[in-house]
Amino acid sequence: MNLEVFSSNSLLISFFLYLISFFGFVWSIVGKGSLTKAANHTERWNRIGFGFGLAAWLAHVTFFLTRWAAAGHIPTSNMFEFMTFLAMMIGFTMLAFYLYSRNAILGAFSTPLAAIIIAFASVFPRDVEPLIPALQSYWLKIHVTTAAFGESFFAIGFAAGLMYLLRTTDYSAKDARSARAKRWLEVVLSVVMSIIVFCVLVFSFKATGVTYIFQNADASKEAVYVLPPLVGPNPSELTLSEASPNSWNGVHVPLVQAPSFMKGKDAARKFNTVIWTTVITALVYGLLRLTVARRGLGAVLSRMTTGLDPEDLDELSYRTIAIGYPIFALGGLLFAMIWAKEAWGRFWDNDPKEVWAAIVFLFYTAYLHLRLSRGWLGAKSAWLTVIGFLIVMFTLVGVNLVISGLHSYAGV
Amino acid sequence: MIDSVKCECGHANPTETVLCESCGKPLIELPEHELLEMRYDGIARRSQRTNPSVTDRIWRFFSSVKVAVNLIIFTLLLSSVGTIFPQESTLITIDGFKEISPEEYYSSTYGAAGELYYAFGFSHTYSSWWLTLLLILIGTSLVICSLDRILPLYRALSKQQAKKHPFFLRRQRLSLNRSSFEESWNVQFLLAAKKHGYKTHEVEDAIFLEKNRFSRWGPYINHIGLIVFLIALVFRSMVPDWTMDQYNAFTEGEIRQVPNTPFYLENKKFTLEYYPNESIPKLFQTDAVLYKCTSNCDNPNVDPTLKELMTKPIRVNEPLEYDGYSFYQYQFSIIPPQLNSIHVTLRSLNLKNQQTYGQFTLSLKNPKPEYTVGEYHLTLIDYKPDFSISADKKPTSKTQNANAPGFVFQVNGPNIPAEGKKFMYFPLPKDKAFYREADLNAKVGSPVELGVNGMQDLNFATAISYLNVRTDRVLPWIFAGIILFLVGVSIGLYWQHRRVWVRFDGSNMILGAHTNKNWLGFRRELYTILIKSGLTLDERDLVNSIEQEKEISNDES
Ligand code: HEM
Repeated sequence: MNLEVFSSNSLLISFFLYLISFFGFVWSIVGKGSLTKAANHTERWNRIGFGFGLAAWLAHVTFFLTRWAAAGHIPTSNMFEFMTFLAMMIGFTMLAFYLYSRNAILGAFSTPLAAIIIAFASVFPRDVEPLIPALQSYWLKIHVTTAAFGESFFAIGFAAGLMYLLRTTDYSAKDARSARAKRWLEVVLSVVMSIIVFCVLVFSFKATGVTYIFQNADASKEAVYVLPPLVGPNPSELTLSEASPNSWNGVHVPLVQAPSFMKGKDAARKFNTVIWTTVITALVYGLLRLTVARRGLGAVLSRMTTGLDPEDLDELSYRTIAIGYPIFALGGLLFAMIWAKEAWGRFWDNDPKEVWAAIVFLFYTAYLHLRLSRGWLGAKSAWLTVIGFLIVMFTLVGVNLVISGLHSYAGV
Repeated sequence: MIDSVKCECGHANPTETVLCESCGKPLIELPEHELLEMRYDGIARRSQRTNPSVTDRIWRFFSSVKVAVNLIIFTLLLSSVGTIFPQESTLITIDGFKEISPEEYYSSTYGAAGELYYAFGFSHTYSSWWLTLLLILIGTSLVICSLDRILPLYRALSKQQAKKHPFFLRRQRLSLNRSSFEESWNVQFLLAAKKHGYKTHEVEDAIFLEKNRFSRWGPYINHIGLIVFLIALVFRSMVPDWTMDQYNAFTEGEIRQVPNTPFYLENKKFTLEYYPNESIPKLFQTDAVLYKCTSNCDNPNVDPTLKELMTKPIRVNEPLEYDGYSFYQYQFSIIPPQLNSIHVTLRSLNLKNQQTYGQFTLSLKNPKPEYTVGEYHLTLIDYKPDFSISADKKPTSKTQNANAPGFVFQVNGPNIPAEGKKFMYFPLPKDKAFYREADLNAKVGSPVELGVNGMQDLNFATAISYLNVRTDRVLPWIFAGIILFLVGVSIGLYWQHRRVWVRFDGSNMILGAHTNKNWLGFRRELYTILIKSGLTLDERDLVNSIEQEKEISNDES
């Protein structure tokens, strides 16, 4: 088997091991034994969760090292590689904090985070690519790895913050404050769910092998749709190629054309993806509300957190951020500046990616001031960790998808 | 300070002090059933004055963390708006941008949103006056907030006495009260505290434990780092000589003066490599030699004297750096091969028994006016880079490119009449044949000619390399500021200033404890120390009764 294939398989195995680890941790909390307080139920399932988590992480490291060997350079140079690296760092930080706190619920919230990020990463092109000259620098390696390491703490801080909110939101109360907290928790959980839906959609349609290709007259520009094009590009720019199917399950495609202000070959495709994801997420969410989660996703998860000490969660979430903040500043700002100076000659370029890294930094600066100086503890502080991590994810993915700049991750 | 308030313990405190710096007794009326506000140990801060003057008000504004957070959030929001559409400064790379104004560009590309974006100045967010103003406000806030706290805090921490007032102890977040106490407990307690790294201080009827006081300076160290960073940024934009940023073209084989610097740079060779079977470039490299001019620097008639400083292949991530100047590989363009210079040999015209006299390099771009080769001396009389004969039978040059170079020299030396002899030299074989160089030279009776020994003597240019030349004299300060910031943050976040005060009144003991961060960890540590000292208690016993009452009432509501 060639090294690159072996490497991809390791990642796949790692993905499933993270999921098994997740179920182990969840079972430790909600399993039959935990209800009857059976002797050593929790301990046993925690050990299973941790064991599989560790195995997942080792498979993940195997993926990373073999891909490194296959590519001949550290695999952090495109979106797929960077995100899987971040997931690996999250796996590491999660295991470390688990050993420190022995808290199954932390595992139950962090393992799916790692798995979702791996799945999301795999949507992007996965080819091993050679490095363009600007990326051939050891400062780049240091910069990217340190920044991702810092971000992994923000991720665990987010998991702990979310757990705090689920733990302290009173799902039986009727007052306006609880109602608002419940509503916003549903929004956050739906956003997380929409990412899962997006990945499942892309992988299922990819598996069918059908693509829809839109081209201009001389085929110099094209937009390739994996999801059936409910919304197609403006026909004056691109039209469906002869070779592509013109219907999907009896629906004529494209159903409608993108509004005229959506210019550029990929704008319509991205819009189509957003529509698919939103509609299916809404359907799945509705289905869940009708069946297992009648009182909302938050209510279900909230029940899992009942055994936890809110003060511990609050402190845990703060500590992860206190550790992540300087690491991120070091990797995301200082090392980034040193590298930028070497590669572009300027230590700061106001490139969107850089500006967003600075925004992440300023946001967590505000978090620390509010918490340490203004006494924002508990729920306020937990919401900040949630918002903070959304900004981190936007900086990682959103900036490349929505805004483009010098950070030329291929294929996005 | 002249104004002062005397505490009953005898210590004179600055006016506006909340808690006596020495014994901790409140100097003003404080609400019942509230813990003490210990953040700055109750020191007098200018920003807390009760009858503020105008300057006091400004001071208060800038020293407030609330204001600081708002400034930070504002900066964050405005910077993010700046990333929605490309900034004006990056548009030059877009095709056809030069023909239209930025205003047209934004409105035609992004419609109404683009128009607004341009109108509000977001198209140059990062050089706008309002973002600069925000940074200045943040800087001011940093300086004032640090001054407001650091000196009073320093004084308070160096003046604290071990024996605190009971009121002070009972209103700490962690506090414990025990009656019927045995004296021998002290020894165990101090031993356990020392094991946990505390400095202990024992006076009559009181014990004081303290550790990691230095961590209180963390935030100020990090703010000083930021101030250094911000000042460096300001200087960078104000002193033009400290930064330089220019793009210069260097044709292969050419030595060129680097404008605005004392340097000359030679592009010896440019290399471009691709990955096998890919269109992705793997390497751009300029083999560069850096020179400094030592004399004749400003004389247009004489070539400058150059001293070689260093040789280095310049690649994308590997600039040439010398004395604060950096030369970055920026761009390149491949050009049709051009003859740059030739390494010529001076030899006798006599073909049968040809003698060579020596070699020199003849530039086709700007040949030198005189050459000395062995015992001979050559003077360049005329040079036509693109030689041709005009309609009135005069030699001219069609263009300035070295397409058909032709030289006329005068040679002086052994066995040549004092007025010298002329001869011609056409380096390219086609011109040599076409203008019949050998015949012409034989006709004027030149004893010498120039020639080459093979391809290795010809030097072609195939590429122009564009280098970005920069200096940034404030960069070390910028990095120093960031490093100081990181050191300060680490000190402040990873160590906590922990203090425990114990007071004995007869057989009654009151304990109060304070940390500036990480209460859970501190409570656990104190609990462990107390257990080790032989007390029996529950960890929750340490929580102040005021807090416990509050928690209970919170749970009920
Ligand atoms: C704008 C004016 C600013 C003011 C007035 C201000 C004020 C303060 C104060 C009073 C503290 C001490 C908190 C405490 O422990 O009680 C603090 C801590 C801190 N400041 Fe600022 N700050 C400002 C700007 C900044 C900026 C721009 C940054 C970073 C970019 C920053 C980074 C920090 C950090 C990381 C801490 C926590 C360090 C620690 O507690 O150990 N500050 N700030």
